[in-house]
Amino acid sequence: MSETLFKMLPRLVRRQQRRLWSAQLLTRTALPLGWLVIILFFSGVIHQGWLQLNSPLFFTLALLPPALYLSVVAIRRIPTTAEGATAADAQLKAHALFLSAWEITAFRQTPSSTQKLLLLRASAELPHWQEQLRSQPKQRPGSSLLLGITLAILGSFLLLLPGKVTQKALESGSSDDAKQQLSKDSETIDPVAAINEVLLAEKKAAALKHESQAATQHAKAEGAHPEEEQTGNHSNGQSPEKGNESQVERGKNEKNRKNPAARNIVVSEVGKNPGESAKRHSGTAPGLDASVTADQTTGQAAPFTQQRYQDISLDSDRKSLAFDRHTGQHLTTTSQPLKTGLSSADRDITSGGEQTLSTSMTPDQRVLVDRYFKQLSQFDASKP
Amino acid sequence: MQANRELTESDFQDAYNDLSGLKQALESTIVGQEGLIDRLLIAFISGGHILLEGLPGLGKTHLAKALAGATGLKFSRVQCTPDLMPADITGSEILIRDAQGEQRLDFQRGPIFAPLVLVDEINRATPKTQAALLEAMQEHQVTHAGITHPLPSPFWVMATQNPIEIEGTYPLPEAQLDRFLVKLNVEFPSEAALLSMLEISLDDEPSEHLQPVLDLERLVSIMATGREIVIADRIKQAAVTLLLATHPDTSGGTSHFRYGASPRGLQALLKTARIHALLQGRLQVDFDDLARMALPVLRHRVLLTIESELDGINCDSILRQIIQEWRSRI
Repeated sequence: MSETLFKMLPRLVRRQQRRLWSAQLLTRTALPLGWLVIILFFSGVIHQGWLQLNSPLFFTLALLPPALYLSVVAIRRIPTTAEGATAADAQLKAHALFLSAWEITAFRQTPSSTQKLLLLRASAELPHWQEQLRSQPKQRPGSSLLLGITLAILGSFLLLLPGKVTQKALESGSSDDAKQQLSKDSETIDPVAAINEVLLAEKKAAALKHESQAATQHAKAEGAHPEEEQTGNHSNGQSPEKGNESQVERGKNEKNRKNPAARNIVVSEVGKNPGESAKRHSGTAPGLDASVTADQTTGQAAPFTQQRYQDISLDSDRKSLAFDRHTGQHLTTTSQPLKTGLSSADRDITSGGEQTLSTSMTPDQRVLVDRYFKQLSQFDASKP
Repeated sequence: MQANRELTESDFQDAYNDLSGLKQALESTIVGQEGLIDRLLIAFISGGHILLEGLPGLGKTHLAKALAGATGLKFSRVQCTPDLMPADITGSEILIRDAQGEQRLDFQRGPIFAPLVLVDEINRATPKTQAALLEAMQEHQVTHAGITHPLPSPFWVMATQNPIEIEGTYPLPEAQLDRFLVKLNVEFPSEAALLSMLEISLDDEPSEHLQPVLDLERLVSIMATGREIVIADRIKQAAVTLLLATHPDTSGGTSHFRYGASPRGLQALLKTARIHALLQGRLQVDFDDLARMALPVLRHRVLLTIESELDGINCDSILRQIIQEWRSRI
């Protein structure tokens, strides 16, 4: 009996010691862990709703101090066996019988007569003690701990997901907030905006070219067929083959529109109403609407990452089509000068006061325009 | 004699039963003072002197008489007054004439030569008389004219004092208070206890008719058994921690006390805790035993600061707070 006691008491003490340690850890780390949960959760919410956070760095900063504290506490607060025995005694409500018996078995070699009696009493109680310590309720996480764990997981999940701000910006591409957000996130030039600007510039140039051609024809017609000038059905000199090409290009554009990466690039739009289109585009093939309005081009600088739009390129056919199709008579333009390779400050092309392009140009202006288009055609010819 | 033989379970059981019988005998004569009787009995079996403090008429003398009656001990009483001399307590040499007609000086033993001495209103005696009494309490002997006269063993002094009468009194110095194992406050009984008291002691003094339930030999045996109670090292460590908590200059000590309890207080705490455990039928001292006995053992061994006294802070309330905090830390 006594041998069993000598063997079992230290074992029970060690078990209680472990329980005491874990309980102390929970108690002492409740506050820092609580703060960690709060930080994680609210950071996740902020990350999703307002401000994109650098998740790995944030995780490191949030987790490192509590982890260090936990380690220090775990090492420093390992309870002694005497503390374990005291805790077990209190747990068993043994009125120091367990503690005294454990001390006798642990330290004393030859117990006195009273100590022998005490060990006998302890031996009689041992089965109950074993049962009680075995059946004592395990430390289950309380409701606050469960809530904390849930919030921590949720917060971490929110932090790991890409920020909602970025997603919105990528999807809509038209929000000013998104533009600002992206300009905050990245200092690189927005390629879509740049492409749109280039396209717009090219379209304006094409419009001017058509206008100059129309003016030349008008000058010629003034001498020969004044009534033709009034009809003006083929003033742009567009051939039926060109019209077919436009249809092919329109099919491409339709495909591009389905592609979210390319749909922000507005090259040409097919009007839903052919009659309306015909009204707006005198000189183009019936049913073909290749107009681009200032509203469509401006304000559509979709923010995107370079990775997402890396496959977008502007081919020379598209540019030439744009030049060929647009007479420029119906276009409204902005008062700003045409810009390419713009600085970030000038990147936004906003529509200012609308100006109708005048077909009457001074000779000097015509010379300038002609020279400009020569340069443009040379530029296009050099492209593969 | 008991230490030489092996103690058995029945020895402890008998000691527990005898103590329970003594307690019941005292409770039958003193009504409504169960806690006081418990502590008095513990101090008595521990072999220490007892200081009872309470208002007049609360049954302090009655309690001492009842204890003497229940144990069959010879009981003597000293009523202290300012003109009481040391010799009135210890005894003195007087000239006597023997049968042959020769005269000689003989030492006439005073009332202190009794196993149980009741010193009533000890704070009315002069410091000189108090010192003589307290020396006898400590040394268990009286020296007169170069001759040492041992006091009976066991020897108990039960002293009483009145807390409200200050004029014409000589409060016991701290060093002398330390000689008492415990200081027990006699509280006013409850309404129910007062009614019960009327039933049993209106026209009679029950303590005068109390039959002994223990003899001196049995009493000594129980005291020896009490000394065999096991005190674990962890309990001893806890007792030291508690004692140090009364000291203002130790870490975690209170600032309300000018002086903390003495090492003799620590001994007293463990002695009384052992008997408290025995009275509960245990072979080992528990933390609760220390907690229960700490207040009566420590309350007369600490000294409040002037500031705390002026603030009207009670020594007991500070000690209760210390004991409570200590118990929660264990």
